[in-house]
Amino acid sequence: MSTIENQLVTVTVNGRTYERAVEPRKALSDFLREDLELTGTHVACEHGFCGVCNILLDGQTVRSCLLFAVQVDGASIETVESLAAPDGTLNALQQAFNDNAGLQCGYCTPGMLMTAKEYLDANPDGGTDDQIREAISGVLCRCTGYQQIVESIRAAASAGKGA
Amino acid sequence: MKPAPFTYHAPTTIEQALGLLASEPDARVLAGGQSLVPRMRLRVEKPATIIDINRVVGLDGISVDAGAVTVGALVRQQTLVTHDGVAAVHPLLREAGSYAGFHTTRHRGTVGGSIAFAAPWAELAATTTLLGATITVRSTKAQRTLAAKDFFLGPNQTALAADELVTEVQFPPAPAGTGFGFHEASPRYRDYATAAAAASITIADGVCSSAALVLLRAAPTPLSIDVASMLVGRVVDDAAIEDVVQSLAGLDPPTDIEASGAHRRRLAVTLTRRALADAWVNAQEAVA
Amino acid sequence: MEIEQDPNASRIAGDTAPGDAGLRWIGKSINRVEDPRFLRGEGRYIDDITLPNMLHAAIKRSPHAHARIKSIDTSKAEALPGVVRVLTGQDVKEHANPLPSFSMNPGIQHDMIAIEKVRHYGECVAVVVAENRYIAEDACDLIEIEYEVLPAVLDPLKAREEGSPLVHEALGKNEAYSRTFSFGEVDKAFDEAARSVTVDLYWPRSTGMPMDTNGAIGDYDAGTGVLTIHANSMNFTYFLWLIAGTLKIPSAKLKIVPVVAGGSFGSKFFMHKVPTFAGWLSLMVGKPVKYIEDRVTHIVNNDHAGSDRRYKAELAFEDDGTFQALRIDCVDDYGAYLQFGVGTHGNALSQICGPYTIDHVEYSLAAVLTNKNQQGAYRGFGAEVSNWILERLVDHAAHDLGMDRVEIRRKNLIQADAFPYRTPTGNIYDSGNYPGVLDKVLADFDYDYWVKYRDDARKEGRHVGIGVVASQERSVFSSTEFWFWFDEPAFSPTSSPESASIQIEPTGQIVVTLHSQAMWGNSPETVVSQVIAEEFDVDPTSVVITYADSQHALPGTGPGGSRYTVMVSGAVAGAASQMKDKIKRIAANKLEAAEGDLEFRDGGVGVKGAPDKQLSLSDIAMMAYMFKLDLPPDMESGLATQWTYDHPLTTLPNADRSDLGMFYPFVGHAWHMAVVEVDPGTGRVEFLRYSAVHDAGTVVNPKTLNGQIIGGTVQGLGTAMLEEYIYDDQGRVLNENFEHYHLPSSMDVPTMTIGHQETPSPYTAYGIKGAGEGGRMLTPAIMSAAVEDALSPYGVRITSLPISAEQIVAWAAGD
Repeated sequence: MSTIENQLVTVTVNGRTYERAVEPRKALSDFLREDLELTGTHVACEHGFCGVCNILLDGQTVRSCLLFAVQVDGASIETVESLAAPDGTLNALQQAFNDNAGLQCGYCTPGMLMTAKEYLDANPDGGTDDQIREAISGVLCRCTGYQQIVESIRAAASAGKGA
Repeated sequence: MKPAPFTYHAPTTIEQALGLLASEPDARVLAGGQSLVPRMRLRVEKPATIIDINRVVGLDGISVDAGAVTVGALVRQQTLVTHDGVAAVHPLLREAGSYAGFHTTRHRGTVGGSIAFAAPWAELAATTTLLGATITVRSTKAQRTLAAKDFFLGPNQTALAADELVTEVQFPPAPAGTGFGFHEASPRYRDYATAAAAASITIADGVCSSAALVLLRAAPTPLSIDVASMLVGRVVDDAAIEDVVQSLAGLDPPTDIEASGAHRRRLAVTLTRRALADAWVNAQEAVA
Repeated sequence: MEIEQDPNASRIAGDTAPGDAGLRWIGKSINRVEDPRFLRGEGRYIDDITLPNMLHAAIKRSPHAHARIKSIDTSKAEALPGVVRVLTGQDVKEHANPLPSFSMNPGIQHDMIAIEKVRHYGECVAVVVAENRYIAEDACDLIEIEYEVLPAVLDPLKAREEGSPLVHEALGKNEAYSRTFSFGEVDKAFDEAARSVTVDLYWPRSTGMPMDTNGAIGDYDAGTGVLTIHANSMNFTYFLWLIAGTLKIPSAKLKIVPVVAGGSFGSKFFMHKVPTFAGWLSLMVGKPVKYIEDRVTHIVNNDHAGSDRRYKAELAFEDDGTFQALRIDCVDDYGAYLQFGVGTHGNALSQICGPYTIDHVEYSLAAVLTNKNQQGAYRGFGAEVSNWILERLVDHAAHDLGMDRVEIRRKNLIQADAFPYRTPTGNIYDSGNYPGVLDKVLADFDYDYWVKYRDDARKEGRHVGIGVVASQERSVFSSTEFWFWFDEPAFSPTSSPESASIQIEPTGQIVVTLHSQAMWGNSPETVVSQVIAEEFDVDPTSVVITYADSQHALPGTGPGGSRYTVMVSGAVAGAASQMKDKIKRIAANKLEAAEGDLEFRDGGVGVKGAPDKQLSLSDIAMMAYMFKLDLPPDMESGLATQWTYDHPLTTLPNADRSDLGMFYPFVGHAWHMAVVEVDPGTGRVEFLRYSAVHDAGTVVNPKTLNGQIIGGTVQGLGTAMLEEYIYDDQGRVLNENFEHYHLPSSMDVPTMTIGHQETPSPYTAYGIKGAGEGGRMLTPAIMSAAVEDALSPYGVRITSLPISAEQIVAWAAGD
């Protein structure tokens, strides 16, 4: 096996710019978790079928396990760590999940939250329950059966309207 | 489930990309990565070199001109699916395209990647075939354009040579009075298709003037059924559709872990009925 | 019947009577106190933890189901830069003992790494420890193994035959256990009954499949000789000594630190392989080693696959629908090892007759070994399978009689005045009002409306079907279920206790320490906060919860068998009762009041009727820690109590096992009703209506209970419609990843309505019953019933799972 040189990656994550040298094969999910110590993004299947590792890349959800870190050079990324206020106060979406039992074990929750955030940014009125279900259909949750997640996202939309 | 090591190149011009493709013996082109990277994760594929074309300039355009649609290879599937101009002339690209994975995977997955990867469940393989699309491919030596029907040779097999890159897909205009239908079956919502059917019917003077049907997973490649010979000149009613269904009796679809060939044959019948019925209704709307 | 209860247990339940309408905090849908850290991405799951100088392990999995290992060449792997050590079965043989097992069968040996032969696809044959996981996997690819492939034992029926290849030569056969239990006069009842139905049924192997796989970090300190293992296992104190035995170290030198688990559903219940492995690797290399199952390894080599059972089941009944007797013959495919013995059938025997009066039961079990990954625990622990069997039999009986499926069930329900009810096996049902739950679900569901809807739809050629099923939900196991199978228990009976400690700091801060695994998606911290709030009238969000590691833990069993909420509530209530006694004595002394005149109010203690005569918890605690002279003269300083809560209601089996004793006595009850529409062309099943009513005794937190019910229901839906291990004829698992192992998505599941009836348990703190598994007890049965009803024009009888789209389409096509 030949030696493969690390490559320099500059990336903005949650508003902070990082520069790191990484092996080309390093998955973005591992890069976030290991090199940047942002362990809020979880992996569950590592081959693109569960959506648990979903993050926002330049504003759009992507599976972070299916990207290599070298590919995001110059990009802007948002992860679950971006949601709460610096003092830890939950944002409206997180609070809605807390209020509506939108999580149990919490493992898929970061992927679910980032996917829900993308949906609500595009559909601030929340849309229908079917639309919410379709929006999160690419993220698997083994605990909740999804119903209280749907209720959480709907509640977050209502909270946004009231604000 | 970590990929094996590889050397990474991120060319920014098509010439650079083609040059690498010509010179690197064990290279894979990385576009959206939604099919390739899972296989690398499982170490089913261990390419020595990755040529990441995501930074190549000039491959991500969409143009709609007099009903014809030209799509660059790097256009994201979600961009194609949500493009109103495309949907206005080729609603099938939105309808069928929305079955391809989830919006999150379509954010990365590219049109060219799907076509070049040629998964047997790829909706784009069906729609390019049905719509008579042409696929432009380039190498350092030459550029050529292939009809979709000649491009797909088998599961994950295409007419693409090792040094060639898909650069563009052109969809010709649909005749006036054309309607489309698309139906797909999968184990869960938006799993890879167990089977799918795409149909188009054009109406002139109240009867079918042209028609096409493409089945996915009824054969190793997208399978075009010669429905025109059965439908042209007719009102496409239940009897007409049943004539088409009769012609499917000899289908011998593949068996795999997700379904038996017998199941796929039944699905092909059901989905054909539904796709043709929808296409007829939509064609009637198109002429109204 | 009369039931005598452990006096300690009744003391726990004493302060607040079951079902007491005066409960302040128990019964409220407070927000989970666990949530914020998970919502912020600060959950600290096992793979989020990094120790200094930590190495990473990956395993080389067997590509064969059954093969002799002829040679292993690790030299190329060892030469790869970044590789620290490559270990094989020979290293295990030299340095470790076999993994622990409850099979009570010395012929079945299970090692961390296969030693001479591999017994299932995916079994570990070598392990690489390297600087990072990428390199560890690279090195796995470089290990060269020569196998002599042996015929794989895959069919449990053929495996029982003479001459079958053997999974374990030392056992001399593949049938690890067989026995018939008989309760009542079964043959006579079948002879005398007017009718009977007999059905062959098959329940396929699937698994809990949490999103977070099993993982552990071993951290050996050569200086102290202490091995610390961080693990997302559930039962770290319960089985600590067994893991120490495998590792050949004194259990006093083993410290297991519980780590939050991203789901278990049985997969991490006594997770023995992974933490033992991580600990052993650290012992071998002298540095911290992280070992996390990747998804493929979790699927093919996890600690616990679910049941895999073939049944012949018979129900005897009268012309009017009255049930008389039940006869069940089960061959259970346990796979290559017998980790948990046949405890999953003990579980089934706790509620084998469901909510129905059936006095005569025969239960035959053959536990067979095959070349598949071992079976263990999966939400329901075997009782979800027996409920499917029973409800299928009841539907068949209704069909045989032409009787309405609700009416035949109603006719046989145990009546509300029959509790505590002794079942034929000896287990009791503590309390219930089953007709009440039925009436509630009928009203919520509007059964008559949907019957008419279905019939009208059918006339239009639509395939609409209704399912109605009931289930018991036994909760809080006693460990007798693991050994009553044998005439002589191999270990002494244990009561499976749970402990809690309460400390009130000088500031008045209440800190509760738990002694079982942290959290796996249940709500231990919320439950404990609500119980503390109930007892001390404090804000539940003010309570601090900590977890003891195994070196500091009191006896604990951990979650499993829907026991944790009941048991931890009892433990906290016990510790709170002691704490309140001490606080009252301090307050009475200081306030010069009688203890009986004191009450806990507003975060302190005060004299009833005298609002100004009050001390805060801080006042009390300050005295307790700092001002000994303010305390009653005979009281020592400090303000901490602890309580170990034993199973409050368990008895031993009798000698001939015609009475298994009380071993799973807090029994909830539920009904689900659903309407589906089946697309016979594609096999797609859509839900038109789904209604559930559960009685889990006193509800602690309706919001979280609903979550458990919905989640369990959807998981059962996966079992019913999608999930199974698919093997080829060589025993290789074909769906070893998430592309092909299909979990339900948000678009494949119903939106449910949920109702509750509360019939408190007379025997537990606050009358709580367990409720973590109920949903999954019902869905396989309801989907079978509803799809069968929808496909009734084709005369379909559903006898195996999953009900695949392919099967539905084939039925509709007349195959």
